[in-house]
Amino acid sequence: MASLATQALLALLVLAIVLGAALVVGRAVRRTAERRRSRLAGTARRALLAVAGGDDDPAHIQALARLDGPTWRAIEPTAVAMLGKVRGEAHEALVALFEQRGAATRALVDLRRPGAVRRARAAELLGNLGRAESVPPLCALLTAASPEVRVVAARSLGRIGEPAAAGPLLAALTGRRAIPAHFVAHAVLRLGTGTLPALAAALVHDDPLVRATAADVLGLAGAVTATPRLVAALAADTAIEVRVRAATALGRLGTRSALAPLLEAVAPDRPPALRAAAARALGELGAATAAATLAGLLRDPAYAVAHAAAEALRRLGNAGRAVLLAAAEDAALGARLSTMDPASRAAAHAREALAASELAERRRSALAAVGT
Amino acid sequence: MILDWVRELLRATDTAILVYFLAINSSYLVLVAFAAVEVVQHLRRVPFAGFEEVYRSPLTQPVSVIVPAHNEAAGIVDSVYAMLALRYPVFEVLVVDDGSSDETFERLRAEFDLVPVPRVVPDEVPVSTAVRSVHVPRNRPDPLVVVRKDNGGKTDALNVGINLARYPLVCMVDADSLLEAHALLSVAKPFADDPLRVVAAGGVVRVANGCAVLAGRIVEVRMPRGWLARVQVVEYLRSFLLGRTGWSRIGGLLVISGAFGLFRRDVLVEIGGLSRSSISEDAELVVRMHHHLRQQGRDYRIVFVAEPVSWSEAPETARVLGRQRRRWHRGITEILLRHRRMVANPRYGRIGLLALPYYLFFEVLAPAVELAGVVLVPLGLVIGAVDVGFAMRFFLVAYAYAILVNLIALTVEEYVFHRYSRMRDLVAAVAASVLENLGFRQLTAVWRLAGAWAAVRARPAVWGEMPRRGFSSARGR
Repeated sequence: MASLATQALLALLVLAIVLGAALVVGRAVRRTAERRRSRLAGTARRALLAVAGGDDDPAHIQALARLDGPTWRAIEPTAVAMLGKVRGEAHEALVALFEQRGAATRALVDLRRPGAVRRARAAELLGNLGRAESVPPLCALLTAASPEVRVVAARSLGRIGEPAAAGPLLAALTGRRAIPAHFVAHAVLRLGTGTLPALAAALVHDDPLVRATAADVLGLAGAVTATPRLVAALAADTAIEVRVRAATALGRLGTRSALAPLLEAVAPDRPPALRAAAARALGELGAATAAATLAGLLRDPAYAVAHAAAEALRRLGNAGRAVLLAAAEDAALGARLSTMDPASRAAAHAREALAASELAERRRSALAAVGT
Repeated sequence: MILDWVRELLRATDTAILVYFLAINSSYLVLVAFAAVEVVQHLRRVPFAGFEEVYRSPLTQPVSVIVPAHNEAAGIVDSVYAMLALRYPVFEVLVVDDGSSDETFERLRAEFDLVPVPRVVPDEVPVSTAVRSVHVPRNRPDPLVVVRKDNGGKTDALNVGINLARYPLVCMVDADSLLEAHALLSVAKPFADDPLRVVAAGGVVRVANGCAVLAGRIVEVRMPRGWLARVQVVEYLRSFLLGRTGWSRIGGLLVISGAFGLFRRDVLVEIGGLSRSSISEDAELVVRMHHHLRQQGRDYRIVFVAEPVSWSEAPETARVLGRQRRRWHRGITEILLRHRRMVANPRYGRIGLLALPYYLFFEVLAPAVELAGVVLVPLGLVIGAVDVGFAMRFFLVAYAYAILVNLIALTVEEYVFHRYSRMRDLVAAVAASVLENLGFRQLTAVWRLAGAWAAVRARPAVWGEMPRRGFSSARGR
């Protein structure tokens, strides 16, 4: 038994020594590699920074394109990071550099090779390079087994900006290998106005998640031509979440034809989430005729509804301000919101909105004073 | 005859203690192994994590950062500046001044030119003290809200913050935490990747003592000068960074540090916010979330992001450390007593069958076994219940094995994060790995046992204050 203990002690000592050596050697190797990379990258980095900074001297691109393998590998992470950040001519110059070095061709091959990390890296690079021929293979990756590969493919399709990707992206919202809705929405949003027919069609899709996402994107994209379809969704969609998103989208679009359906959506028998979204949208529409309806909502027991109504009134200009002033005078304030009577509740929300208005006005004046 | 019985009893007890240490150190090793896989996978994915897109997306969920503050005048302005400078598309910083008797509010008022506003305070989450006033900057566009209320404790301050939070995600941050600029982007990422299931996410909290700090940010990571804090660096690394990452990987995360945690506001409201009767409100919150969501049969995830997001000051004196450890251990004991029906209950899945029993056997009982080992093994040796060979085996299993686990954790840190760039820091960390097991553990066991005993006897809780030494090295704005 004693010999077993001695052996165990020896084994532990050896392990501790090995770990100690691993710590020291690991650090030494890392430092050496860093120094080597730094030395190799020295002059090349200057050329890369010049390109990323917008210097259009072709000599920089040529010099970078001719770099040997180890030197390119030393600056490649920096180049990839810059590719994702810079815009305009600098971005085009960097794309040209990557094309000359054959990075796009390699990435297209990597998309089909095993390994989620390799495929995701390749998809990311192709998105940054913005090559249209990458769209079909990236669309194929929208149903990849790895969730991160799917997300990177969606993001890259958004960056490439080919409207044909809208259909596959929206289809990727559902199924066993679905992509989170906001990634899809952001990607589709970046595809531009060419996606509007696909989005309008998606508003009548069987799956409520697809309909809700389409409503989001139509609102963010400013697709005023989709107003009638969004009004229909607001009025009659079977899913409450779709109606809420439709109300928000109509507020963003700001068309007058949405006024009546939004006023209907704040009726007391509608769910609070829908009423709050519709009240906010009425504020964004800026229609003074909504003031009377919003005044009634100030007394609502649901905090979100009353708060949204007060904020909306704040945005209606003089008509809204008059309602808020009248409500603010109405009653004394209680200690807790839930124990207040309706008039006090309305007064509390009105006072908050009026104070916010005053503050915003003061900040604008201060900003203007700084500007002059 | 009696002496024989005592010998036999001691022999059995000493053997049980040895087996216990073998199990606990092996469990640490397994957690570190899980964590190592997780952090390596995490880092390989950073180049395509898409933080830039999350930052630019109009669909990224906004965050309300809640900062409870009680007598934090010394550092509150720097902390708020650092939080306002977080890289995230839309967020607000909500400081809840919990009846400070120092100049906490005055300093904020003077620095940000605060003016009172009549904010409506929803009462979705119960609170014990009323809000006295709400303030915002007069002319500055900073998304800052400062709430003044009577003193009601950290939990009450956080609950007031939840009520006032405008955004769907709520981040709870200690006023003295130093955050990395990307902290919100990192910890919000799981909510973006898995929006339907993720309800809470924690990030790595590390020891800030000794680090160079500028404008509320860590600019150079160094080991602290005092050995007590150095040992805590290793302890945080093994338990908080790698331990919690390991638990997250196996779906059994029970603690998200109060120093930095991100939660879905609707779920916080659903469970009534933080418990006012718990001394370890952060851990209790997560356990209650598990309890509630499991009971409802909901598919959810509580995750830990293996990325340093927050730095906190660790106690540098035995007195303060003792108070902290008594409070922590009392907290975890109370949680297990309160949620005892979850322990070993298959209805609560991995939480009931794995995580909670683990915490019961390897956290709550650990100080008692630790001290029993210190007393009973030498006693057994003296009265001949165990031989020298057994004592050697005990030393190997209880201490040398634990030192080895620490060294493995240090190796993971060095290969994956390598935040400590100076060689002398590495040497100090190796020495601290030894000291943690030969002195520190036994010292804290006394405090932890006292904490557990206070929980069992249900003595009134005393939070106590943690005197801050501050981060003087490069602090300034």
